[in-house]
Amino acid sequence: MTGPVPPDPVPLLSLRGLSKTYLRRDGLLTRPRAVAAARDVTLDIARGEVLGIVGESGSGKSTVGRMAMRLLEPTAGAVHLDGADITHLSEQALRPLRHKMQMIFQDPSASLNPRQSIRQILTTPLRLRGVAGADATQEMLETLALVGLGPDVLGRAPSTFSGGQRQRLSIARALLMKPELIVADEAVSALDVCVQAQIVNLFRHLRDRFNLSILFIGHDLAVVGVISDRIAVMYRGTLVEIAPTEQLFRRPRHPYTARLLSAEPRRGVLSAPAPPATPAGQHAPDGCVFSARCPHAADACRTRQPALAPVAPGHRAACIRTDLDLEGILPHSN
Amino acid sequence: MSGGMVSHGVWRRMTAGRGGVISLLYIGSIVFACFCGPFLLPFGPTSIDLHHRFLPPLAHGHVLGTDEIGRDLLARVLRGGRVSLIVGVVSTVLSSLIGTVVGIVAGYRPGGTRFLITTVIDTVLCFPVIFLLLTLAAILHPGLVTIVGIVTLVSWMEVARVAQAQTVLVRQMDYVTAVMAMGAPDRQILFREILPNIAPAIIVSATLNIARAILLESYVSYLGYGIQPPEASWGNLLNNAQEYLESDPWLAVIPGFVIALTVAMFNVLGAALREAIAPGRRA
Ligand SMILES: Nc1ncnc2c1ncn2[C@@H]1O[C@H](COP(=O)(O)OP(=O)(O)O)[C@@H](O)[C@H]1O
Ligand SMILES: [Mg+2]
Repeated sequence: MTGPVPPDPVPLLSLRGLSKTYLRRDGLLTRPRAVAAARDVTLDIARGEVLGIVGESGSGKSTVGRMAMRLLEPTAGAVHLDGADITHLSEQALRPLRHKMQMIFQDPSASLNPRQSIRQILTTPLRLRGVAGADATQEMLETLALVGLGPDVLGRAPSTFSGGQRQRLSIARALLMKPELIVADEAVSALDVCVQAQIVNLFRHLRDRFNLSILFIGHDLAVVGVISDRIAVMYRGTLVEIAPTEQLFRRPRHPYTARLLSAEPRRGVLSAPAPPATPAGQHAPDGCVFSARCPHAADACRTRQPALAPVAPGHRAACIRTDLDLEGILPHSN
Repeated sequence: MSGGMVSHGVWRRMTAGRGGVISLLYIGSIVFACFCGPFLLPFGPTSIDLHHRFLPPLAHGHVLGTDEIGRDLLARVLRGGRVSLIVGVVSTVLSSLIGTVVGIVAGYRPGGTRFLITTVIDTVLCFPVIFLLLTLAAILHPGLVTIVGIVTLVSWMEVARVAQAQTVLVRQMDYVTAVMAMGAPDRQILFREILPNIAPAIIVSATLNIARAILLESYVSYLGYGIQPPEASWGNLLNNAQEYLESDPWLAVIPGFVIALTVAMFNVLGAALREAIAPGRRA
């Protein structure tokens, strides 16, 4: 759980105040309503770091992941890759940089083209990198071995594989681009517990071996906690807390994080956090996003959303109740 | 490779159902009959025999009888079928190509391009097809090429719509996003990732389009703007038969029946294909 402390002054990926607003029309005659899928999200990922993002379904995790990949245009904010602002690069200008960031998706059945064989699927990244012939085959086989698959898979169709194997193949496809960052959007959420553990281990191994950065998105704090150096907690589009994993587990500073932790069983079965009581985006317009469900809400909480502020070294939370002593799931260190 | 496996499954499911088997058998037979039949018959489609006019079916070796100048009706129906099938298939191939390109571009490029293309499609669809067809037929010089051209012109929109809807659907699949995230050029995304996945829907739509095109050709030829006598087509056989509807009804009934049956069978084939392909979509 304790990863390398980011020594690099320039983070590999830096999200600065990213927001995404959708206009949603509820009925034919109603005026469209702005729904914030993500609001003012700021976070950095260092080289070789695994940053977890947790939050219940609809909290904006995928929105942030896709904006980071420049697969979704942010409404506001900026994405910096290797210190360069890529927010407004045209698709053309972005192409040579795209290989640096690759994505793994949640649904194993939709992530491989059903009309291509595995060989064709894995050839795509190699060809884009200009690798062909014997070199291509060699690299393909090495990468397959790396994700725990043999050469026999090349001639098969995606539909002949299990969910876990398909995720391994997706990872192999991503690795063949030689990325520096992988955005894993709920990459293990659709898998059995046992297979989840294998894939999480695979990610950890890849990070160690290639000094890969991983943005590991999930709704299950127990799973995300196993692999992440730091964890960012999202609630209804807002980043409410970000801290090194151990610190977050030991002493959460945001009541929502505490709530997520208390919902986690101490051992054994993994479970998803409770579903939201109201649809996302329907909190009081000005107050803290969590105020309606927060047991510690004060009057001031209903008037404005607090900014993410440092509460300890490397630890930031968006809560004005800094006086609270919330309970984690690890014993306090002193 | 996987494509082969998928089409193998489609073939198996097609031939497992009654509709698929019957329509395939019928279409196979009618194609064979129209293209090879005329060579096996003792009578040519344009050989006039004024001694044997208006013969009823089965008289003097004329299986379907003869017309007003003694030409063998079976030979003419088969010869006409050749023209009708050629028009149906060729115009469908052309309109499917146009429709696929237009639809795929509209589906892939949201915003201005899509709006423009959808507007054009909707505008063209607003005109009653028959009206458009007859206007074009009246202006242009009649003939095989002309009729293929105008049937194509009025029927590419259907495939375009299917291709567009499918492209929108497939474009947001994770496997397409993954390839976009690699920085692949649009051309590669369209032809290698999207096209193979929308092809089944386009094939179904094209099969149904053959039925429509045959019907359109018959209609135009029937009204006298299409294939011109003495060349036969299913439509102009009907045109010819109008005058003798009361005295010699088989001259109209037989070509009419063949047109109806053929159109119905292409529709059945399209439906069977759709059924056979649908389960494969989930994979
Ligand atoms: N294309 C869209 N149009 C409208 N609302 C959307 C769209 N995509 C996502 N949203 C909304 O944005 C919010 C965040 O979605 P998402 O990022 O997918 O959440 P998560 O990945 O955490 O489950 C949700 O409330 C969702 O309904
Ligand atoms: Mg998601």
